[in-house]
This record gives sequence, structure tokens and C-alpha cells, in this order.
Amino acid sequence: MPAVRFPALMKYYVENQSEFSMPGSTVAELIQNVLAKYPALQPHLFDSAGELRRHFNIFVNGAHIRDLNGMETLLKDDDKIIFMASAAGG
Amino acid sequence: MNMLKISNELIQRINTHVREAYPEEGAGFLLGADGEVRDVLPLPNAREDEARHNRFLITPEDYLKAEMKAAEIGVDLIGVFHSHPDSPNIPSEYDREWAQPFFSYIITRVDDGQVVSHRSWRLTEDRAKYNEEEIVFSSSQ
Repeated sequence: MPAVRFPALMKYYVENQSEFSMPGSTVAELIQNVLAKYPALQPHLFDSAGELRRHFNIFVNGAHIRDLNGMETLLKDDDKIIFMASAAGG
Repeated sequence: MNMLKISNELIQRINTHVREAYPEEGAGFLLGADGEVRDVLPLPNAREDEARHNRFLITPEDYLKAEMKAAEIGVDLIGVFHSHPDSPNIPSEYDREWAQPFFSYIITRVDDGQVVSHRSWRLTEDRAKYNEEEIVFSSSQ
């Protein structure tokens, strides 16, 4: 199963794990599975229109998914998916 | 009201960074634990030139480096500081859209290149608004 990692401050929502395994054949499917298990993450990952919040960036084995196939990026069992935030404001 | 403790020395480091960034926004991370800032990590504002006067961006790469530094010294990232050049240190709607739960957000007002005041804010769990938290300044870390 792919391994998933969230920013440290989000650990509260994933049972204080820095990394955990989650099934998913694509990034979108993996996210669905993550949210099914940890529904409290939903409002922090997605806005009210269902779009991934802009401060979240998703990397698969170090490559940003925008440089792969976005949410439809295919995953393999040994892939590492990192949800990394950026900080912004004004 | 929540409290955020920070030493005068660390506040001075924030002041130096945001004064140097003026008239653009300066920003960085607050590292610490249990509501106490133990270190600050000033970072470059990665927004494009024309937006830096009222926007800041810390890249995911810098975010990752900050997490690694925090882990190295046995603390957590507990917040973000940034400046509002020539405008009140109240979070904007744009700040709220980008904010994360649990973080403290210190906003420093800088008028004409001089630091005026600091205020700290936390996003509510439902992301609807910010609550202000008291900043307690101490003479040493």
C-alpha cells in the first residue's frame, strides 16, 4: 500500500501518525480513502466548492502531482505520497 | 483567551526581518511547544514581485525545511509570522483562506518602515473566523 505523510500539525487528525499506509490506485482514490477514515480532515483539505485548498501540495515520490497526472496520477504499492502545505497570506 | 509566549530577543528578530522586507511583506515560521515560541525562522517571500507588498508565500520546500529544523531541535512548527506594511494587523479574508488550524499567526504592523505593534491570531476549528490570543513577552527564552 502507498505510504502517506501529512504536515506535523495535521497529525492531530490522523491519530498522531507521522506516516501511515492507505490503499489507492490513484491520488484521488487514495484521498477518498484517507477522508473515509479521517473525515475531520475534509474541511482542512478541501474548500466548500470541493477544491483542494491552495496551500496543499501533493507530491508522489518527490514529484508534484501537477507535473504528473494530477489527481489521476497512478499509484503503486511502494509509492510515498506527501501532503505538504505552503504558508501564505496577505 | 489563548496565550502565546515569546521572548523579546525573538520579537527583535521578527522586527529585523519585517523591517528589512518593508515595503513588502516579510514572513517566517514560529518554532516552539506548549504555546511558547522557542525560535523563529525568517524566510524569503516567494510571491511574485508585484504582489509582495500585500501578499506572502512560503514555499512547500521551505515549509519542509522548517519542519525538519523543528524536528532537529525537538520542537514543532507552532505558527507563522508576517507583516502588514502600512495597514492594520488584523487578518484579511485572504489570510483566513490560507490559514491552518492550531497555528498561531503573529501579524506585525509596519508603518513607514517602523514596527508599530504585534498581534496574534488563531483560526477557529470550523475555519469561520480568527480569535485573537494574548502575546506575553518575556525577557529571555
